Amino acid sequence: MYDHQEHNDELKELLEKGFESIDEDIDESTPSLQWFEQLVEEKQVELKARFKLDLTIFLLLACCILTVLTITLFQMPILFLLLQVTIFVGASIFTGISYKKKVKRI
Amino acid sequence: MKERDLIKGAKKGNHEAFAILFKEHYPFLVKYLMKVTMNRDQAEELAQDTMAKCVEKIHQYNGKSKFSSWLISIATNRYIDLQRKKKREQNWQNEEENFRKLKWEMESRNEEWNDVLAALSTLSEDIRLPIILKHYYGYSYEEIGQMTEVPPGTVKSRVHHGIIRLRKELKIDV
Repeated sequence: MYDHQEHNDELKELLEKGFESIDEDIDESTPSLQWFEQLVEEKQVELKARFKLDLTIFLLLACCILTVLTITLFQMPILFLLLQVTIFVGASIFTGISYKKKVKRI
Repeated sequence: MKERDLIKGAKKGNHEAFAILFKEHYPFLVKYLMKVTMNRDQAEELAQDTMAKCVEKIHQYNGKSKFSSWLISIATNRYIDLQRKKKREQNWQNEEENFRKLKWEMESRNEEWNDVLAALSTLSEDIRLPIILKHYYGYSYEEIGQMTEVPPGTVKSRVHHGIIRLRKELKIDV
């Protein structure tokens, strides 16, 4: 146990010495506060734009799906039922495949 | 301003709080990424990418771990994602190139390309990464497992085998 700890300390010391030359240079090259502010602002603008786009796509899709379902429910009930069954089967297969892939990756 | 207040401000979207937080942690983050990638350009690029991800995910930070540890987790995941995207063969060639470039950069600054860096450069990234996190930054196997999305047992075995190889390269008694 003591030996193991000693070996670890020795390795840590070696790594510290080895990395010294890499670390020295980086402290001097940190960008200014303005650079970081600009980076954050740009990212925030990008996130807002992406959120707006996602929301618009979501609302449009929701409207389309609701319209199709309402029309089929009142005009073609058989097609409505068929759609429901197809969506349920499709969703089950998709979930199954995703789960299998996840298990395989682990 | 304390780090906790800065994080609070950042969660509210205050870009000044974000900037101060990032400026404080930037050297730590780039140093870590330099050790992992062995390439300055890639380390700086990944640091920017990590900070951008942090702006996006700041509401998920729960304060249980240090902010710097959380940044390292994000950086590690970004690095792993990047590596996955590249083809294995091409990746190996890139790593070789990275080491040569870093060696050249250090030699041109009259700094020594030491044995430890040379030994680390012989290890693949999936072994080098946990060794640095464990033996340089002092994270536990569980924490490294969470960061790299690998079971702690696998991390332990990679570190163990990596150290044996490192000791052999450095000619230290096992």
